[in-house]
Amino acid sequence: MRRSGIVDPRALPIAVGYLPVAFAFGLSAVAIHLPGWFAALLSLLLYAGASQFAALHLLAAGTPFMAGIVAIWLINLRMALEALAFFRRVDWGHRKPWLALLLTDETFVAASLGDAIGPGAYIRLVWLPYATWVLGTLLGVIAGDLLPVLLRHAFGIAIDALFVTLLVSSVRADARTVWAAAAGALGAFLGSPFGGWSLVVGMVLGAVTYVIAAARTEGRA
Amino acid sequence: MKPFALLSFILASALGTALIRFLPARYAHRAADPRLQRLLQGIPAAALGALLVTSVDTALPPHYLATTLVALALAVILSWRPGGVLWPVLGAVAVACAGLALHLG
Repeated sequence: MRRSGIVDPRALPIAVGYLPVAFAFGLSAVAIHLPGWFAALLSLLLYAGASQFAALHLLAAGTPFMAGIVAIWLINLRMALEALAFFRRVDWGHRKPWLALLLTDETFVAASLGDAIGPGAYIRLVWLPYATWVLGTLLGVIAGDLLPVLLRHAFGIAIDALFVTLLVSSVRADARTVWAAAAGALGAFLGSPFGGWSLVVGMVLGAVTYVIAAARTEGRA
Repeated sequence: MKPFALLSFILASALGTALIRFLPARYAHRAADPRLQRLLQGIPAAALGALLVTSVDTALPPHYLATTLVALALAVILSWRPGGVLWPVLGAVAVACAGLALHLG
């Protein structure tokens, strides 16, 4: 796969998928009478989709200030796992940890599969989704509901298709990852009553399953 | 909420999330236990499986769900050959557009 140039090709489907979601976020914020600057600044500084939508819900429901903030931190706790996994893998030492601020679920997965990448390749992967997220929010705030439902849904499929494509490529490289993915899916399904925590449940279950699968295959060898 | 309270809300949630991302990245090189490394190797694929489940909205009408599944099946077929992620993704989006337009049309 060619990774030179300003943008990593894997960033394009992520950005295409982010645009309607960010647009919807901007729209939703305005719809519950929050100021446009609030939505734009939240996208700029927080950059964490699920927790941003949760923030709107919490503010609209009149949740106490600290409870809302703690809820957002808890939803985003999975990013600690992702940052640890990614930075441990790329082995950049203690350099450039601030680059983790642009790590999301999608860019983490895209950046973690295949060969370990350097900081330059990482930036080529993450800048466009981030810029799209902020721009999409601004467009949502400014433009209102212009995107037809059909296109919104079709663009939304881009992210799922990216997940599927990355999963196939991961399984081709290491067949044991299919067990991790299956357990991750099962964990997320079983953890769905826990809301934002279902992703964490899936990730932990999948990672433990991978350890077991790896130990079994190495024991046989 | 008043503007100052909203601004405080943004800054507090963003600062906490920044630390959640930053601190593990800053000290990742110290975690040298091979078992932890193996555990972390499984996380990307586990996250993919979990994300796929959480992103499928079963409350969608049946034709949306069917179109999504067909589009993702095409993505699997197209991604089986090495050659990047763009074609599988564009193929899936094209199928989604066509499938939904056919239904609505």
